[in-house]
Amino acid sequence: MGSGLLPWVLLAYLLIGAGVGASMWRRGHPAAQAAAALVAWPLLVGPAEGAEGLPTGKGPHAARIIAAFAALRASLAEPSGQDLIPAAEVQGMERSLLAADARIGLVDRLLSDPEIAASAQPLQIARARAAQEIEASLREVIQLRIQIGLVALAGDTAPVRSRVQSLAARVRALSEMNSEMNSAEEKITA
Amino acid sequence: MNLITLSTRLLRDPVALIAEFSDPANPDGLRRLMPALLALVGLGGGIFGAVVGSYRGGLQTVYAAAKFPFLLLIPVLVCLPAIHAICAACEVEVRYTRLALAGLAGLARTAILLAASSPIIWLVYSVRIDYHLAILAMVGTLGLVGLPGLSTVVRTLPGSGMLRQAALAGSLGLICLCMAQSGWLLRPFVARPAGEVSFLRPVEEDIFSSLGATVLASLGAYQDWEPEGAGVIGRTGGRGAHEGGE
Repeated sequence: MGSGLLPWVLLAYLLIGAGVGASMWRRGHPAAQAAAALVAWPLLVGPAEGAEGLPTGKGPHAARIIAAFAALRASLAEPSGQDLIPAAEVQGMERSLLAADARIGLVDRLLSDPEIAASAQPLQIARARAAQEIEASLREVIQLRIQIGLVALAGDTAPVRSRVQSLAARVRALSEMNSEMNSAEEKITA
Repeated sequence: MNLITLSTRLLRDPVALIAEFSDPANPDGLRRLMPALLALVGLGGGIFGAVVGSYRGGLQTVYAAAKFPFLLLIPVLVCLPAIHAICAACEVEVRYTRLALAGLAGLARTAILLAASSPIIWLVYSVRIDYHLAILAMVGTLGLVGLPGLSTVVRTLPGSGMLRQAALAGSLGLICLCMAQSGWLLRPFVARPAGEVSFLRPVEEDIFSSLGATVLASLGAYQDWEPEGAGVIGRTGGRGAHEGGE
């Protein structure tokens, strides 16, 4: 191979890859993804994404929200579902739900401290309401998918529009609850 | 997603696949798809490498099969941050994750096409063509099947106008240069039938001086080309080093 720096460069590359892979493994990523990071870690260690990225924190419902909206997008990609809802609108609702969920995750971490939990009843109430609202929104997404399926049979798009408006209203309500949680959180931490 | 389904989607509509897995709402998309894409690059590149190595046969077949996937991967892994910077400088706003996924998907697409073209190369090599022609056949095939892969990346970049064209030209030029030099560092792939089998040759000169000599030799105009050590990882090599293969 030659007596130059090449073996050391390769060793350093693999060591960094092993570090990235081990970090992913510790955070619960599947073994295949951690192993792939060993070879292709530069693809994963990019510069920080800008404002267009999703909320950075993860809440207890994040996986379900992402799965629900992925299924919704799949329904909208069907011939009968195309052009029913703008992609930006779907993405906006998903981002809002994930942001609200990330907020719940933050509150959960705060409440895991027994001293705070003992004197944080308003925060617990706001947290429970927000969680209920996310659950209701996820049910709304399922209903929306059913309506999209019905469009294929009946051809009437009005119920879909109505469901979208209902879902958007729930998402707006969640944003208002975020403000409630914020003020409750500020009172506790003051 | 299994490899067959993924291959189908990569060949039919790679842009839709990239859009789905690089959506900001799907933050784990790249990580989830990466093992399967790397497997496709390994399989496709490995098959083509084995066929190319079969020109010499024996252990060279295994060596070339092991090295070829890295010939495809190294340029993307090395150049991606620079390409992202070029895009940013040209005001082409593309997320790093999307660019990484596009690069990897383009590679996987190229690897599938390389595997598909392997029987043709095998057939050409089986009639015992000249060594230099064998190298040109490999390089030509790589260039030809690389185009659909590159088009995948091109179609992923947003925007329009002169700045986008400049970003594309800069990015593609960088990738092509890096791939050519990676191939030079990882040689030999095609070895002379009577040549010595080796996993890697000493690092010497660069791809352009060698390709020039190869093109002239394939036209019958042999010249006295003598490689010398080059770069921070190179060391001096003699004429004998070049005779093993490329």
